[in-house]
Amino acid sequence: MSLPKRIIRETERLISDPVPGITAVPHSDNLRYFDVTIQGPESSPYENGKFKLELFLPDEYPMVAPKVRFLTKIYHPNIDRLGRICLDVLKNNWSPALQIRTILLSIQALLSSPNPDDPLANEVAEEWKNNNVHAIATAKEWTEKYAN
Amino acid sequence: MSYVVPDAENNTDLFQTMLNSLLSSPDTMMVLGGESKGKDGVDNEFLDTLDRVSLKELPKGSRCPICTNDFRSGEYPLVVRLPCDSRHCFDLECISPWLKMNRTCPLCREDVTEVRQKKLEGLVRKAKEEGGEEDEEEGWEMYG
Ligand SMILES: [Zn+2]
Ligand SMILES: [Zn+2]
Repeated sequence: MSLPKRIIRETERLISDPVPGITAVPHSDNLRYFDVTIQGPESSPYENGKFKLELFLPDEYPMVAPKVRFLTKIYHPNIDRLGRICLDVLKNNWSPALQIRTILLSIQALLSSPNPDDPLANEVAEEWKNNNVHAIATAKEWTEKYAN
Repeated sequence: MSYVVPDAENNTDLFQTMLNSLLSSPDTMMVLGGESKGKDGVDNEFLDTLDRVSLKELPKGSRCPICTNDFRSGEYPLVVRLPCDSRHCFDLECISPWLKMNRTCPLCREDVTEVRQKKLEGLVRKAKEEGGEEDEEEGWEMYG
């Protein structure tokens, strides 16, 4: 199956006009598979961290959302230990008018504002709510340890 | 599945644990997602009766938000507008598979079936009111 023009256009733009703090590079042998890095946002516990993710565009894309997963270990209430992300636009709120770019921006925003009331990693979410100072310290620790 | 809520209230911790493990399971996420509003799409009749947009109406260089192609680039462009907003236009070919699975506009997330229903109701109401006025006018003519 040839690559839809939309995917080619999105890829071109990701490379020629990248989002600040985000890189997305397609695999040369599979242009639906991207190596992604997201810089931890300033004044978040992830600051100075560089997080690796993988992004895959299923055949049905853009009728279905891209599949995205953190490869770098991260302490975050909406990201579980397998790197799966709980984010509405990746699930029920996906729209085919959204793009790889907008999805990666949403993930970057999720690092700035974790949402422990809609958790995926429950123990992390509990800690985030009940012992916030400690949770943030752990997130910083993990960032230093794993995200560089 | 049934939850016995009064018991759960007496044992909030257990209930919370159960709920958490349930919510954290990917299967549950799927099920919850599948039941959520907007997941079942429109029928063919709805698609057939969408407003067609002539290329003259579309701004130069405007693109379909789904395939991102210029509306004019297709050999036989067939562009439709959704009832939510006159600017929410798509290739029929691109919006059809989406609307068959989802009732929402990709640009504003309005439920397109609800919007159309409201519009139709509005039209009918207006027609009734105008009909009423005509009756009155006729009445005037009779006396005039
Ligand atoms: Zn299109
Ligand atoms: Zn709309």
